[in-house]
Amino acid sequence: MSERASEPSVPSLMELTDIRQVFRRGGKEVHAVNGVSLSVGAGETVAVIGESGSGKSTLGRIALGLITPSAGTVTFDGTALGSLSKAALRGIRSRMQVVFQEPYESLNPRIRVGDIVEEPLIIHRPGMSKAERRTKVMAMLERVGLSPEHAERYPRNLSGGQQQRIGIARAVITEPELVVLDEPTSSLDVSVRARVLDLLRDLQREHGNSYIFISHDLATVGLISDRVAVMYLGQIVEQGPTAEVLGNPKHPYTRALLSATLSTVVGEKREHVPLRGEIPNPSSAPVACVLSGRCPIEIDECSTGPVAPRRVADRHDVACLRVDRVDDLIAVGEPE
Amino acid sequence: MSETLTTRRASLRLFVRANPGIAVGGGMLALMLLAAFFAPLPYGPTTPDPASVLQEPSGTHIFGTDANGFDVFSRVIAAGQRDLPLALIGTLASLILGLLIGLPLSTKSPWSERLMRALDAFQSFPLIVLSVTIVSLTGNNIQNIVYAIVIINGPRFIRLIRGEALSIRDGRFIEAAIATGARPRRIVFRHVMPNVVDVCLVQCSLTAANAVIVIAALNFLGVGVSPPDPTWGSMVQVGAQGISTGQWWVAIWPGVAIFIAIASLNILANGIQRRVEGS
Repeated sequence: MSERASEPSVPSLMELTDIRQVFRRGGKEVHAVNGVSLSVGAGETVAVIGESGSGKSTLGRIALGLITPSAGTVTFDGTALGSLSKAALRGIRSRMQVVFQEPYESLNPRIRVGDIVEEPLIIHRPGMSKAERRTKVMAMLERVGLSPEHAERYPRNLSGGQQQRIGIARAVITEPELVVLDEPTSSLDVSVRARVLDLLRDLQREHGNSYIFISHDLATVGLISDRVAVMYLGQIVEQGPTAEVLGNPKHPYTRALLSATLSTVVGEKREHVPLRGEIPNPSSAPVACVLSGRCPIEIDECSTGPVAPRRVADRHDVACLRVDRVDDLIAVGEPE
Repeated sequence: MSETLTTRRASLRLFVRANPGIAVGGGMLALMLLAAFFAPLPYGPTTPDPASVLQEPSGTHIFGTDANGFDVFSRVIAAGQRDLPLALIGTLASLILGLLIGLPLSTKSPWSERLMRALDAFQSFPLIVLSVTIVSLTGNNIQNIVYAIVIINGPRFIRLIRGEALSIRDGRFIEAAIATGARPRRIVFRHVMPNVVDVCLVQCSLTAANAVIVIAALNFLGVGVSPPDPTWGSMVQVGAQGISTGQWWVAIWPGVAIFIAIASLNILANGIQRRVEGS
C-alpha cells in the first residue's frame, strides 16, 4: 500500500488509479497525465494545483468521464466509469458536475438563464413537472445570489460573477455528490472571487458534496481545500493535508511555487526558490524525476529513473529523493 | 392608444436607424410582394390587346406593350406573384436540407469527411447546367424549378451549417452540456442549432437572390412557364428578339425587376450580416 495515493480521512467517493493520458499533436505524443493516483473522500475538497500545462484540467475532465484516459481507472462510488455504457454514464452525470473557468463561454449564448439552470432537471428528473422545475430553478437562482428576474435574461446581459453563479447553479441543482471546479474563480475580479468561494463553501456545508478544486492560485486553495495535490508535468509531486503541504512543503517544486506567490502581507519576508529554465513540454514518458534539469538540489540518482512518492508524514506523500535536504534550497539557490 | 402608437412609431424609427440594410432591403422586397398580389393594375396581365402591339412606353402604357399586345407594366408587377414566392420556397427547401444534412455531419468522423469530399465533387459541376439538364429531362413543371434551386443552393447550406456547427461544438458550453448529461440529439437541437441561426439568415437572403436568377434563367429557357402567366424570365425571352429591332422596352423592364429583387435581397443580407456582427 505504500505506492497508494495519500488517502482521505473519510470514506472514498472517487478513486483515480494510475491515470495516464497521451494526446497526439501533429504526430508527436504529449503525455498530459503521467501515472496519477488520487482519491477524493465524501464531503471532502481536494485541490489540484499546478501551472498551466501541468495536466490538471485534463485530470479533471478524466475524473468526470469527459475524456477516457489512455490508461488507468476512474471509480465513482464503487463504479468504474470505463465499464459504463454511454447511457449509464449520462445517467451518473447527475451525481458529478463541473464548473468551468470561463463563465461566459460555458453558457449557451442563445438560451435564457432560467432554462440553462433548468436543463439538468429536464435531463435527470423526468418525473418532475414543469411547475416543480421552475420553482426549483427560482429557489436555486436565489440561493446563488441572483433574483428570479434574472431567469429571463441571456448570459451576455450578466456580469462575470453572475455568469459564474449561473454555472454553479446549473452544476449543483441536481445535488451532485462531486463537483469538479476547474479554476472557477480565476477569471473573476478579486472582490467577486471571495463571494463566489463563500458560496461554494456554503453549498458544500448544506449538501455535503465533494469538490475537486483545480487551481493555480495557492491563496484560494488554502482557503477552501482539505487536501492538496501539486501537479507538475502530468504527475503529482506532492500531496497531503492542506496545512501540511502549504505549511511544510517538502518537494522543491512546491517550494518554488509557494515562493513565486506574491505575499499578501506587506514587508513579509519570502524565501526565493529558483528553478532553472521553463516548464518543458511533457512530450515523453518520464525517465527521470520530472524536475530533473531544473532542480537546484538535484543529484545523479534523480535522473536515472522516475521518482515514486514516499510518505514523509501523516497522509503526506512527496515524490522526491532529496526530501531530507529540501531545507538547503535557500542556501543553494541564488536569487536571479 | 395614440401613446402606444407613438412609442411603436418611435421604436420602428429606432430600428430603421440601427438597421438601415434590413429596413431598406426588407422594405423593397415587401413592396414588390405587396404590389404583385394587391396592387390595382392598369391592364389585365394576361389579357392581350391585339389593337396595341409593340407600343413604345407612353402615357397609356407606361412600360409599353409587347408583341402579343400585353401591357408590360402590368405583367412586370404581376410576375412577382410567381417569381418571388417560388424563390422563397426554394430557399426554405435549401435551408431545411442544409440543416438536416449539415448538422448531423458536424463531426470530424471519417465518414462525415468522406461525405463532404463527395459534396465537393458534386459542387465542382457547373450546377446551373446540371439543374437545367435535370429539369429538362424530367419535364416542364413548376416543382422542377424548386429542385433546381435546391441542387444549386443545398450544398452551400450544408457546407456553411456544418462548418459553423463544427466551430460551435468546440465551445465550452457544449462540453458543459455533455457534462450535464445531455444526449447527442439534445446537444444538436438545443445547443448547436440556435447558434447557427445567424449565419443561416444571411445565407437565406443570398440564396433567395440566387434563386431569383435561377428561376429567371429557367423561365428564359421555357422551363416552368405556363403561358400566358407572366414571369420575368419568360418576358425577357419574349422581348429579347425585339432588342435588335429597337423594341428595347419589352425585355428591359422585366430585367430591371430582376435587378431590383436581387439588389434588395443583397441589401437585406448585408443588413443582417451587420446586425449579427454587432451583437
